[in-house]
Amino acid sequence: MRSSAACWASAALAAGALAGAAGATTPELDEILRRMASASGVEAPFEERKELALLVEPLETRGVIYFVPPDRFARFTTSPGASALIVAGEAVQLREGPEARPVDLSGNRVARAFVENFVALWSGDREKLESLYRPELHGTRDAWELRLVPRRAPLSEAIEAITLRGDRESMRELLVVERDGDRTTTRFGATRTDRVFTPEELRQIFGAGLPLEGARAER
Amino acid sequence: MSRRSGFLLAALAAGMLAYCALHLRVGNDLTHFLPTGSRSELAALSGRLADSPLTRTVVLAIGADELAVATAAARELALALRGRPEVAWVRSEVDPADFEALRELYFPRRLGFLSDRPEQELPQRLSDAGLREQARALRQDLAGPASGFFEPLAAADPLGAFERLVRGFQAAQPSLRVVDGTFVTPDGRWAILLLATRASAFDSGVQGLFLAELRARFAEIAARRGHDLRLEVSAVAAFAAAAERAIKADVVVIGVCSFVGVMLLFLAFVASWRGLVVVVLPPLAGILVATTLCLWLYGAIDGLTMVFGTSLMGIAIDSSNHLLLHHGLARPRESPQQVMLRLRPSVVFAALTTVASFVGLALTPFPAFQQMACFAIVGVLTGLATTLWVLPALLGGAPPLPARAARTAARLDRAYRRLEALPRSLLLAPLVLGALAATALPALRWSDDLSKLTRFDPALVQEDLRVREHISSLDSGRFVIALGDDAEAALAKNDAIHARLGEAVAAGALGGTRSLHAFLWSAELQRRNRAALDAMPDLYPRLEAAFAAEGFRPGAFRSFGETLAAPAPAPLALADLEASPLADVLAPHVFALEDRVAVVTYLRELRDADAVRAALAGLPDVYLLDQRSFVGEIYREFRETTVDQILVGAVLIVVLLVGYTRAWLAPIAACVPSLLVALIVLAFLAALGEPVNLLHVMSLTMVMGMAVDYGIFCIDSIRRHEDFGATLLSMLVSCLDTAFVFGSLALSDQPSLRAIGLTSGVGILLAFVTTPLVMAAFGLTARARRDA
Repeated sequence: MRSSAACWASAALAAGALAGAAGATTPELDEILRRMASASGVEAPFEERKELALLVEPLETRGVIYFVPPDRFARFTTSPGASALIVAGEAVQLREGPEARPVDLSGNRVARAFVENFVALWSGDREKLESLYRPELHGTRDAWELRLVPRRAPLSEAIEAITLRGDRESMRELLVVERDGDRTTTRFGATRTDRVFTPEELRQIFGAGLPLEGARAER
Repeated sequence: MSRRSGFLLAALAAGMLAYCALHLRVGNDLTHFLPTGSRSELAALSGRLADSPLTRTVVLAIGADELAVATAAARELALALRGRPEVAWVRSEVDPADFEALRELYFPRRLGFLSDRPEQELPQRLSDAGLREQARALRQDLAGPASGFFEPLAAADPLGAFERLVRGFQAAQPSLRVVDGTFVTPDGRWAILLLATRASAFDSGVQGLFLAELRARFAEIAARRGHDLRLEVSAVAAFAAAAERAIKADVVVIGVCSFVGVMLLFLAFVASWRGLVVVVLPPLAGILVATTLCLWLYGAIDGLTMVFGTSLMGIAIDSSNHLLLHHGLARPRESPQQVMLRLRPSVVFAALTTVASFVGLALTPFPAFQQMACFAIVGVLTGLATTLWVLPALLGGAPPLPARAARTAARLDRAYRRLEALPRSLLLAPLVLGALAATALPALRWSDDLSKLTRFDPALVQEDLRVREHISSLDSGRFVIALGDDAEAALAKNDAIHARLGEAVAAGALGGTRSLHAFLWSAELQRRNRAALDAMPDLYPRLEAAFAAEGFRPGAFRSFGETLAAPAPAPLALADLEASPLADVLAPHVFALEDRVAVVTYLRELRDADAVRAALAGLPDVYLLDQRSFVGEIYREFRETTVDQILVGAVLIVVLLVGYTRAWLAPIAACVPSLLVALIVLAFLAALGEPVNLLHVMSLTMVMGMAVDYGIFCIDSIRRHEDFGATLLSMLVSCLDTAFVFGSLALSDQPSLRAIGLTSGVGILLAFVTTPLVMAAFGLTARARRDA
């Protein structure tokens, strides 16, 4: 279950951090967390690069992340294949391929850990976050780096560390290093952290489980 | 009868009363309506499925204005229910340890679960091209969001066998998700709690108490937590308990109405306490002995038998009425023993014909009807014995009957004589009416749907539907069953069923299935999978090459190669799963049936039963069972047999009567009223458009037996030139008694009891009216006078 923890943790942290990029010259964790909690909505296209022990070449994936505070999140891949990971409250649903039957993963141990992390980050709850990770913040506000080391299982069994890098505007990169050496690097493109989703858009993302038009056009 | 005998009988009665009070248990087990014995294995299976772990499962849906409150209440209720003696298990949440236990069980044996048709599929799937295709699929999976589940296992399972198994488990589970560790409905509105009871769902006594306790516990939680907490229940047990409550309420109403009616009649024509004792003693003795014997034999009395038993009073009262009124109206006065001696042949013969009408029921393979027949036969014979040997002693010194009784008897006698004086053509009118009624019979509609015999509270039905929609869309009562001499044989058949039903699903004849195959394959199929792999010694190097060509690192699948080279583990067996967290999930799918093992596949949306049956054709000991139509078929057969029995019984009674009277006209006259009653009642039901079911037929059998009794009383009275007025009065009193008792059954909400009430109430009145008419039409009195 290592890689799933990595994949989901990275997705959750990415969305949270995208919303919480630092604004002043000296980065403060509280400030990042406060911005996470106050974001109206996030839409961020991404490129993900997975370096797995099984594969000679890294796997590259493209897609888009949506985050609707306080507890809704969706990660759609558009290339090389379509898939969807949708979190609404404590429910976690996965769909691999547009025609595939959705799989409910709410009862899965890793999925539950994921939701716990997700809630801790997006609610801006520093105490909770610190109970899950050991955070280390470095750099300047123009180039900050937040390293999170999981404190407890199942994440600690799978993940060595998660590193978020960003600038004054937004988070730009997320790196997850797993205990078996697998690494997942996610780079974010033109990120919008002030997104206000219409009811129709929310229905499409979280009801129908489909990305919005712009993201699908990338396929 | 001596005083000592009287004390002995009283002591015996007191003993039986105490036994009944201590052991009385009313059951409402619908499985009693299913045949037993050698009828067929399918019938036994149907009975077993009606009382399987599936029917013992209770689903609780807990709602609130906030889901978090509902899930917290569900957890609290689960905690309160765990450990209760009535509860076999409670499931409200997912235990992470279960996943690990299943992984340990299945992962080492994954290569036995590669294909349903290993010899056909695996050569293609494991060809170089097939392996390349699987490598591409794995690569795509690794890029997907679920890669995390299978990536750590992919090195040891590049063929994805374990992944397919896990997906199969998920597809076979109810469509629930988990919030805060608790099951919730897909729409996130209800928390769901699943539990199973130890007792049969049809053990309505135990279930009624348990459900009441469950609701009380929930009410406590709801009162404490607030937030508009509400509970909805889906359980077969809830229906059984509701049916018992309804039947108990009916018994009270029926008992009160019967008592009031009988008392009014008694006051009108008997009016003495000793007379009352004489009239009610035989039926009360009959009910007491029959109840004791049934409890001793069966352990519980079925609800319908209990109602039938209370109605028995109407039948057993015939003989005591006959004796009491003949004794009271005898001129010159006779001793009770003399009257008894005079009436004994007709009283005994009438009781025996009544018993004969129930013997057919005892010979059916239906436990419920066997119990009814046992109750009725024992009750009637006890009533007869009481009438013959106890009542004469009690009648001695009884005060005379009120003058009203003698006047009514005289009026009835005069009315009968006027009837005799009418032109014969007029008297034949009932026969013409009977012939006309016979023409209406083709319009009769038969209904053999068991579910229509019981009416449930619509609110309860709706609640059950709502809860069931949350968790499953399986068709209730539709199964495919495989029977095998042992678990392995049954599993092998289940493998074949799964493959054939898969084709039926693809063809649209069926919406889907829930099969044991999702969890377990036969050992033979698992071995065949391994054998197919063993037949490819170059599989690992070819797999390495194919996966490397798709970008996988050489040597990445070394652990898979080691697994292939190692000896295969023992195939997964049923016993392994029964000791695992899957045991509760498996329970509804597999059970022992005498010395065989049955494996059940549940069906969803059976659209074309014939196509599914055709798909299963050729598989020995494999049955598609639509429980409702199957039971309906059995009932139809039983109803038809009962109708045949009526005809055969009528012929037998005529033969017996010919032997008894040594004439041919009188026996025919004794039987014609019962035939007329049957024809007219059935024509009446046909005209009303009321579908006729088994209980109508049973009631008709009983009424026809009583009509024959009336005929016997009349013929005996005519033959012996005795007071015909007294006979007619005793018939009137017992007819009204019976009409009161059965008429009150028609007040019941239950269609089954209403059917008995209407048929019997109308039928017995018709029997009273038609018997003298037929006697007059046949000119029996005039002929008797001539012979004298």
